[in-house]
Amino acid sequence: MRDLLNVESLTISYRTRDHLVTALLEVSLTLAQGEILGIIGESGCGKSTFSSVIGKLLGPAGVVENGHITFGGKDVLSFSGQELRSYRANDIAYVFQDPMNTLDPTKTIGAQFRRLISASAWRQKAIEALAHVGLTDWRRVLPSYPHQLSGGMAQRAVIAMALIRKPRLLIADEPTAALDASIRCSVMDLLTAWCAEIGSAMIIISHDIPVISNYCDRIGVMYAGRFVEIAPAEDFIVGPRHPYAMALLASEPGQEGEDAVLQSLEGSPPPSISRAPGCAFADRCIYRTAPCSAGFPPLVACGSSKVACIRLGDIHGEAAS
Amino acid sequence: MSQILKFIAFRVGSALLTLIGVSMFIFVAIHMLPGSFEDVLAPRGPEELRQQIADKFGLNQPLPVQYVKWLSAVATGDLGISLITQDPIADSFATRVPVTIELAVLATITSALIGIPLGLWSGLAHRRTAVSGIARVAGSFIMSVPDFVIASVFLYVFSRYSLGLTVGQWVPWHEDAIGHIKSVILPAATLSAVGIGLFITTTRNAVIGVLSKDYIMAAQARGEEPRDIVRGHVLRNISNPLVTTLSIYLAYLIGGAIIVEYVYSVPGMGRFLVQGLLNRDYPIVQATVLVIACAVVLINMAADVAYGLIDPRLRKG
Repeated sequence: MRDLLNVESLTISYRTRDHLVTALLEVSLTLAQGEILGIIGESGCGKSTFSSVIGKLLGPAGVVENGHITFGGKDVLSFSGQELRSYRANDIAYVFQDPMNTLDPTKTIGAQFRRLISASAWRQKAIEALAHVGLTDWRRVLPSYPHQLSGGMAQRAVIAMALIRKPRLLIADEPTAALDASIRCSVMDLLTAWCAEIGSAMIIISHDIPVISNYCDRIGVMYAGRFVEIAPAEDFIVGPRHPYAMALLASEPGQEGEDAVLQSLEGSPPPSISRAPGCAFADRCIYRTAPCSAGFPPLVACGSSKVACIRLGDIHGEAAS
Repeated sequence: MSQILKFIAFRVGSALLTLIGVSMFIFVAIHMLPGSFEDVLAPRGPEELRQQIADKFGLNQPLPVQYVKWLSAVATGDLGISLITQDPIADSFATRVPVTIELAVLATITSALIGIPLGLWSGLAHRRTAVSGIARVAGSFIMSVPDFVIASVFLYVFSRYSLGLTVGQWVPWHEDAIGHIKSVILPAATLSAVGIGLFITTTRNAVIGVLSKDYIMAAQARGEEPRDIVRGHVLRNISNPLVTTLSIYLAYLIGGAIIVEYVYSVPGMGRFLVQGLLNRDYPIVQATVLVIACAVVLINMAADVAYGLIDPRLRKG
C-alpha cells in the first residue's frame, strides 16, 4: 500500500509568555492508505497536538520547530490560504470528542449540512449521509437544533458531516468519550464501516483501550511527546513491549484473572516535556537502571513492533534486534 | 396557542406587578426625604399657612390613602398636575418624553454602530497583541470617563471654537430642523461616548469567548473561509450579549441622562425629574418614575423576545 501520511521528526512547542513548552518531540510516523491507527496515552502526552497538527490546526500559540508532514506527497505545513482550506475540506476530516460543542448551537442540523455542500442536491446527499449513520428519521433530524438531539444522535450527525465529502483521512479525537457506554460500540462500528467503504484512513485517539484494540490495525503509545511503542494491534494486545504500554494495559480492567488485583500506574506524566537526555518514563518505570537516563532511547524494530526502550532484551528475554 | 397566551399573560402580569412595586417604592421614598412641599413653598411661613398648603393638596392624609388616590387616578389615565405650576403633567410629558427618547435612541444607535465593529475587529485580532491591547485600553478608558467630564470638555471646546454646533441650547424640531440637528449632536455624542466603550468591551469579550468554542475549530477543520466563519458562526453567537448591552444601555439612557440634560439644557425627562424632586413636587416625581419604569419593562420584554429568536435553546416549549 502507498503511504498516505508521512510525519518526519516533528517537534512542536507552544509559545507561552516567556518560553516555549514542548508538546511533541521528534515524532515520526507513516500511515498507509485506508489504515486505522489508534493512539493511546495519558492526558498531556501530545495526542491531541499530534492530531491537530495534521490539519494545521495548532492555533496561533503552536510553533512547528522542526520536521515535515507530507500528505499524498504534498507538504502540509507549507499550505496556506485556499490551498489549506481545500486540503481541510476535501482530504481530511475531524470528529471531536463532544458533539454538542462541535455543532453550532444556533443552527439546525440541516443548515450545518448546507454549509458543507453547496450543491443544490445538498438535501438528498445529507439524507443519504444520515441514513449511513443510522439516522433514517431525517424529517426530524434535519430541522432539529443540536440541543434537541441526544448525544449519540448528535455524534452520528457529526460523523455524517465528516464523511459526506469522502475524506482520505479521518481524525477522530476521542469520538466516543462523551457518549453512553451502551452506544459506543455501535458508533465505532458505523464509523469504521463507512471509512472502509470509502477507503479512508483513520487516526483514532482514545483512552479506551478496548475500543482501540478492537478497531485499529496499528496502535501507537505516546508518552511525554513521543511514540514509545508502535505495534500491530493483535501483537500489542497479546504482549505490549514498552514498560509504559505494559503498565497501561495492566491498569485496564478485564485483563486480569478472577483473583488478580487490578494494577494501577503510580505517578503521572511529567508536567512539562523535558528535552534532557534519557527516557522520559524512567521515573515511573519499575525496570529502570542507570543507563536509562543516559540518552534518548530510539524507536527500534522489535519483531513487527517498534519500541523505544533500551532494556527490552532484559525485560522480555529476547534480543531487540 | 394557549401556551403562548399563558406566556403573554404571565409577562403582562409580572410587568404590572413590577410597575406597582416601583411606584410604591418611590412613593414611600420621596415622602421619607427630609423636607416637604410646604417647606419648599413657604420655608419661613407661619404654621397655619403651612397647614393650609398641606390641606389644599391633600398632603395631610395618611400615605396609603394618598397612594390609592394617585393609583386610581393613574389607572384612568390621569397623571395629575404639578403642585407648583398647576400644569397637567401629561402636557409636560408630551414635549419632554420625545426629547428623551430621541436622545436615548440616537445615542444607543450611534454607540452600537461605532462600538460593535470596533469590538468585533479587536476581538478577531485579539491574538495580535498590539491591536488587542490598544482596543482594550481604549474601551475601558472611554468607559471610565464620567459623562459630565466629556460633556464639560465638549462644552469648552465647542463654546470656544463654535464650529457651527449649538451649545447649551435646545432647538425643538418643529421650530428649526437644521437648528435642531445642530443642538442635538453634542448631547448625543456625549452620551454615545460611554456607550462606545461599553460596546467595544462587550463585543470584544463575546467574540473572544465564541472563538474559543469547539464549533469554531470544527468549522476551520472543515475548511470554511474565515469570512464565512465570522458571518455564519461568530456574529450569530455573539448576538445575545449584544442584545443585553443594547437593552441595558437604552434603559439607562431613558432613565438616567440627567447630568447631560443639565449640562446642555436639554428639556428632557431627567431634568424634569430632578426639578420635581428638589421642589418636592410629588406628582411629577411619581409620574416620571412610572413612565421610565414602563420604558424599562418594555425594553426588557423586547430583549427577551430577541433572545429566543437568536438562540433556539432559550425558546420555550
